[in-house]
Parts: sequence; C-alpha cells; structure tokens
Amino acid sequence: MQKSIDVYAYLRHEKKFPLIWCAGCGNGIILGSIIRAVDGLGLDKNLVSMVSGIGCSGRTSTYVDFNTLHTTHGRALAFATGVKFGRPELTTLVVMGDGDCLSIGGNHFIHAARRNIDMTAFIFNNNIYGMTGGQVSPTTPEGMIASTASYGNREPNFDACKLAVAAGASFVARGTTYEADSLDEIIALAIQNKGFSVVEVMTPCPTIYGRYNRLGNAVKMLRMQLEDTVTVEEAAGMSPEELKDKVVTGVFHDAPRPELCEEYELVIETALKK
Amino acid sequence: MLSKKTKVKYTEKKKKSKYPMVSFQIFDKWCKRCGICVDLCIHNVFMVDEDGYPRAVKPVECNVCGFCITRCPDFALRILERGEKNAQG
Ligand SMILES: Cc1ncc(C[n+]2csc(CCOP(=O)(O)OP(=O)(O)O)c2C)c(N)n1
Ligand code: SF4
Ligand code: SF4
Ligand code: SF4
Repeated sequence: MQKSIDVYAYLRHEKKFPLIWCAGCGNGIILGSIIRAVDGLGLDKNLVSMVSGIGCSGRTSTYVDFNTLHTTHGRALAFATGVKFGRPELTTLVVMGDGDCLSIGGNHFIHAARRNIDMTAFIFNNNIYGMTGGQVSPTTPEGMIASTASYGNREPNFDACKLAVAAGASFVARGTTYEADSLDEIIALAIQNKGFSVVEVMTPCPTIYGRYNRLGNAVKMLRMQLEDTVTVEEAAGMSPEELKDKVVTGVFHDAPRPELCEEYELVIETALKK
Repeated sequence: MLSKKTKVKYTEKKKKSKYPMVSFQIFDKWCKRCGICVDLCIHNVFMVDEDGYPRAVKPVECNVCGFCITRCPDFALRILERGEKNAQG
C-alpha cells in the first residue's frame, strides 16, 4: 500500500489522544501529511522541531513526537527563529493558523520570509478564527459570515501565497486537505528547500466557519474543496472570470537564494579572523 | 508533478480477489464519527453501525488505495495488510 507507514511512531498517541479537534476538522489530515512527508524524507524525528502558535491549529505540536514548542499567539515564527539559530541542524516546522500567522503574526511572517531563514511555515487556513469562536480573519473571503461580520465580510482578504512570494520566501505552495496525497509531496518539497518555505493548507472548520456559512457537514466541506480548487497548471489556461471564487493549488514559487543561518556562519568566520 | 488531481488516481480500476487482502482496525476511542471514511471510499467498504462508528463490512472490495486513512482526521483508522501485526490503539 502506498501509505503504509507507521504514523503512530511519530505520535504521542499514548498520552495525548484523542485529538482535541472537532469531528471532521481538517487539522488532523494536515498533521498526517506532515508526518508522511517527514517519514518519506527519512528524517530522524529527534532532529525535527515543531513550533506552533495559539489557536486550534496550535494544538498540532502537542500530538507529534518531534521536539515541540507550543508558543504564544502570533509569535511562533519568532520562537522558531531562535530555535533555528541556536540549533541550525534541526529541521524546523512552524504551524500557525491563518489568524495566528497573518493578523497578529503578520509582521513576523513577512520578516521571516525576507530573511529567508531555513524553516517550513504551515498556514492552516480555515478562513476564520476557530478557537475563539469565529471572528473574521484576514483570509475570510468577501461576503462570508463570521461572528464579527454578521452581515457578510466587506474586507478584501489576503492571498497568503502572494504575500509570501512578495516578502521573499524562497518556496511557496498551497494544498488542500482533500488532496492529501499532493499535500504530502508539496510538504516534502517545502522541507527540502533550504530557506523559508511557506505551505498554505486549506482546511475545513465545520464547527465554526461551516456553521456560520451553512456549508454543510465535514464530509460536504471536504468534498467542496475538490470543486473549489484548480491546480496551477489548470489555472494557467483559465480566464480571470473563470478563476473567480476558485482557490489555486500547487507550487507557485521555488527560487532558492542565500539562507540566513548560512549567511551568519560567514559573519562568524569573518569576525573570528579579525 | 502535481498537475494530476488525486481523483484521477483514485478511480483507477482495481483487481478483483475473492479474499480480502487486508483487515481493518478502527480505534473507536479516537474516532469522532465524522463519516469521512464512509463517504469517500468509492468501493463502499464501510458501513455505519448503530452507534455511528464506521465498520469495514466489505474488506474484499478494498483496493488499498489509502484514501480513507490519509483523510481520517483522527488517526482512528488503520489497514493491516496480510501478515501485518496489530498496532497500538
Ligand atoms: C496575544 C493574544 N491575543 C489574542 C489571543 C486570543 N486568541 C487565541 S486563538 C486566536 C485566533 C485563532 O484563530 P487562528 O489563528 O486562525 O487559528 P485557528 O483557531 O482557526 O486554528 C485568538 C485571537 C491570544 N491567545 N493571545
Ligand atoms: S473550531 Fe474549527 S478549526 Fe477548531 S477544532 Fe473545531 S473544526 Fe477545527
Ligand atoms: S483503502 Fe480505504 S478508501 Fe481505499 S478502497 Fe480501501 S477502504 Fe476504500
Ligand atoms: S474518518 Fe476517521 S474519525 Fe471519521 S468516521 Fe472514519 S475512522 Fe472515524
């Protein structure tokens, strides 16, 4: 079987299961993809660190048997920068919600991208603040309902991938939980990039976002991802009208450039010579 | 590499066999009865029992595509190939 790996070897299932997330929440599917990618790359789990922020998505680090840090809201990338600078040999994975990464953590996000520090940043994009009950987030699409947008959101939303490319990330991609197999591959590529990689994953939040917007149950929301998305390759042949309301998935940007920790090695070398 | 959507792979024809090649482990204490595995399996391997938990009623139909396992958000589902030992849970 293609997926016959022992995911349980990477999970703290004895102490921390069942997962706290709601039935059908996509976060667990992403965690599965991350584990399969790490396993596929043959990484030693003791040399992987996962840093997460606060939110439903932030719980991810609790369940996985890497070196984990569950940090504060919006600051996961700041903690991860410390981890990576202190222990550059660690493969560093950062898990954030869309609010976590793009509202309160937006500043950390653009600067981590600009610095091109070697880590993979995951944005678990459920289009809303899940944990705190459904406030509008910078990724809530226009017209959608949230607890702070009862008449429909009138703010344009961020395209996190375009933002990441513009800020300087050297690998940028988007996947969905429905396309979990492609997601495994995307994550493996992102981890292999020596620099700041961003993987935005569209994930259903049936309890909050789904209910506010009457999107149906978990199964329906998961299936909807298939209809709502097109690959980069398909999108290339589509008009802007056809692409309206579609989410594009795939690798958008893969352009390695000098990485921060390596650049600092040079600084140290120079300083020692003086 | 990622140009093909998963559904293309997913609808491939499967080989017929009289005996199940696999057995299923469903960890009820982790399963949240979301129904994703039941709904997504195109070979209708699962049925829902009276308490809402999935049960593999037609394991012989399974072509081991792995779709249900990778989409189970709670790691509550495991497919054991013939000869594989039971896992923790
Ligand atoms: C400094 C600070 N501000 C606000 C909060 C409250 N808070 C907790 S989680 C959260 C947002 C959650 O949304 P998101 O980051 O999208 O993650 P999700 O829960 O949807 O996974 C907020 C505002 C906090 N914990 N800390
Ligand atoms: S509130 Fe939404 S994001 Fe949070 S665990 Fe429930 S379904 Fe998942
Ligand atoms: S692996 Fe799962 S989804 Fe695939 S055929 Fe078997 S039971 Fe169905
Ligand atoms: S997908 Fe997983 S959690 Fe959902 S019903 Fe199936 S086994 Fe249970």
